[in-house]
Amino acid sequence: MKFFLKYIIGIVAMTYIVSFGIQYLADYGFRNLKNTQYNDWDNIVNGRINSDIIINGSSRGFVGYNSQIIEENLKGDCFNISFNAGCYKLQQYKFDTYLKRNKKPKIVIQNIDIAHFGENKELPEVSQFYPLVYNEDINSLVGKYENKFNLFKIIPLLKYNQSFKMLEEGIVANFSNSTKKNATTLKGYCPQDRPFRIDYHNLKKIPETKTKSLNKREIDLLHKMIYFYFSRLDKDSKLIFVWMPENKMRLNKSYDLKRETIVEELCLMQKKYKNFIFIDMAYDDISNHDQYYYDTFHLNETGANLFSKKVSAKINEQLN
Amino acid sequence: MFFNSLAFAIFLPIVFFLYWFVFNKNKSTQNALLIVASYYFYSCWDWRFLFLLVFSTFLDYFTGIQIEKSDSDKKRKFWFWLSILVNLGFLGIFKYYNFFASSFAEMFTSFGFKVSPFLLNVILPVGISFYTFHGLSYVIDIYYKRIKAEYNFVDYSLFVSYFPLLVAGPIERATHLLPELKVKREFNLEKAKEGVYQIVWGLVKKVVIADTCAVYANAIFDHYPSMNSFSLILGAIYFAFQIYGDFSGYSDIALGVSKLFGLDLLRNFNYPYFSRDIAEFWRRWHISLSSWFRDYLYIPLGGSKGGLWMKIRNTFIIFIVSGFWHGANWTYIVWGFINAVYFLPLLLSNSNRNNIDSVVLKWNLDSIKVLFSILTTFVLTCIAWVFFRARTITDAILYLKRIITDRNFGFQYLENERYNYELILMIGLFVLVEWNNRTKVEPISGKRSMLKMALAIMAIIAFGTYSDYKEFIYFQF
Repeated sequence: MKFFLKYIIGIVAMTYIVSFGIQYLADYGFRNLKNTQYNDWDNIVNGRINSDIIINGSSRGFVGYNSQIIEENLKGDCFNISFNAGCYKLQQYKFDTYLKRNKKPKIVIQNIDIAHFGENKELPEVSQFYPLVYNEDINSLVGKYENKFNLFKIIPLLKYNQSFKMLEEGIVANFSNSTKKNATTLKGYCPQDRPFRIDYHNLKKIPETKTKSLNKREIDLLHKMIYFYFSRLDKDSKLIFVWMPENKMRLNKSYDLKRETIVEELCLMQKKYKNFIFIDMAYDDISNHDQYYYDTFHLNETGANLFSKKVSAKINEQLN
Repeated sequence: MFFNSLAFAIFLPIVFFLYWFVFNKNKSTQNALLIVASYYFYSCWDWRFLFLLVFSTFLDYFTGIQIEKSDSDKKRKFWFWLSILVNLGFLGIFKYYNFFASSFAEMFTSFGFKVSPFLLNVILPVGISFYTFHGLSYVIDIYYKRIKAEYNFVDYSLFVSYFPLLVAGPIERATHLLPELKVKREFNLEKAKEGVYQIVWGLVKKVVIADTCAVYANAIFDHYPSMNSFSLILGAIYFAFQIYGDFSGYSDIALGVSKLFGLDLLRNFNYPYFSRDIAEFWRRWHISLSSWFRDYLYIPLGGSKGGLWMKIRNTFIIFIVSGFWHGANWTYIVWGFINAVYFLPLLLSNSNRNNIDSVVLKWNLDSIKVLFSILTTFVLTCIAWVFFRARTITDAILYLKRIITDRNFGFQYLENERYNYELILMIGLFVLVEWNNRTKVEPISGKRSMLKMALAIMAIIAFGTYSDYKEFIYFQF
């Protein structure tokens, strides 16, 4: 019996060592693969960004703000920390994670839209966190949504379960620098070289309203969002909320009624807070051209480049 | 409690520890512990059916003794038929009543009489087909004086309710398992290691092969009218590996767990997809059920000793009954019928026992013939599996018809965000591993077994399907 128990322990130990080895190789490959979300996360949690201008937002921010163009126009180092987060809380968690190891930015550009006010019930694109499962900052962010991350820490390879391609990519990343089209990031910005396709499932999500509607919770939330940044930034730092150009298909009456009240409230806040700027580009000319979008929600690379030029010009106007 | 669940991963080491360290005084304490563990295991499904299991156990225990004690044929027959009728009665009520009631109602409706049948709102007690067959074989063997009745109720109860084989077999014989339960088991290192190999390989078959194939097979079978020929062919192949991985995986785990307790169960699968004809397939697939039907149905009916027509009749009877044993649906009956049709030419040409040795390949023409016959047998099996998997006979026929008529062999995107071809490589690798180890019970034992174990466990972690609730297919039978 003693031999049997030793044998079992031996097998478990051997499996553990080999599995951890493979997993480490994949994680290491991802973390060090330049111009990817994994590498960006690794740079954020290790304090290697330290930019003057930080862009935050959801997937729209992630694919819509070209940090290099904004950097050139605003004359300051810029990094886009937006990710496919959907709602405000996750974006705030990411900003807090950023501040833990990086210097405070002088300007924060926060992308805003109606989806911003919701609550994420689950963590989108959870695989982006896999290579950083042992990082405390990442765990405190992810742990609020995913219990399985605790298991991932104990059982090697479990996080790559059913994701053989991802595991393979991670291992290959140790020997190659190539990144995937439409998943490559440039200072956090992820350009999308894709033609326009109507996303009916997203269009269905537009809330049906017949009157202007912004309840007390949402107004409170707007104030809290602004307070969130001002409480963390230096006194003279600028906070800029931007409403990106919406595709014309989204700009229906119901959407407008919902949007108008938010815009009105943000304009009032602009008067109230000295360092707060609101730029509304929802009806910009970009909205009328499908060639600037890859779906009704997101700009493609061409649209993002044009928008980034336009928005940085507007910011410059406001700052000077 | 599934073999592939976390609960079982906790349950098994506890029982193992208690068995070898606390209850290891004698065979009675060992058996008592296994009974308690087995009843707990069964009550995890539905504790109410525990009463049915205990009743069935008591019935066969009691009638077995009465048959042996009876001094006249009349009394022996009475106790024998009492046991058979009650056992089959339970099976009939729980498993087949609704099927017969609705089938008769449909038949009457087709003749113009409107009948609304009285249907029972009962769920099928898990494992009823398996433990009923355990009990039946025991009583039949006593009646025909092949074995003595068991007077120790604990030993007999354990034979019926032993947890590794309680819910999905293999179907054990009293002649084989009871003698093992009558002696104290001593720990055997080699046997325990073999057990661990078999458990791990069984898990690979279940969570890596079967459950992954299930995702693809379900996507294809559930949307077969919109699938092209290539997808439909793959769907049939995926299901063939799903059902093989699922059921043989379960059997492997059951056999492996038993070896940990020092018990040897009957082998249930012997690489059936490497069979060269259908007769060989049935000697390698669900061996315990095939041999049960052979010994308790085919031979009592006259077997192959009678004339040609008797041979044909008996062959069709056992295959159709075997199909019906799997479930109360016409699709299973047709599946059994198709297998009988496949079997018939071999029987008539007396070549049903041509391939009893294991497959050996060399670089010559004969080996190409052997490979061709293996492939042909596999294709025939897949065609039959379509009937087994389809919801109705019409669905199965339309599925097969579409393979021929669609003639589109392009790659197709499935509903579950996967492509139809993605799994082929994994199945190919699995077949290769099994082929290279076809002379062994499982592929892990032998040289570099530790490394192979580590790789198998890594495959279970990295490629296993855990996201959905995946029960073993044979639990429903």
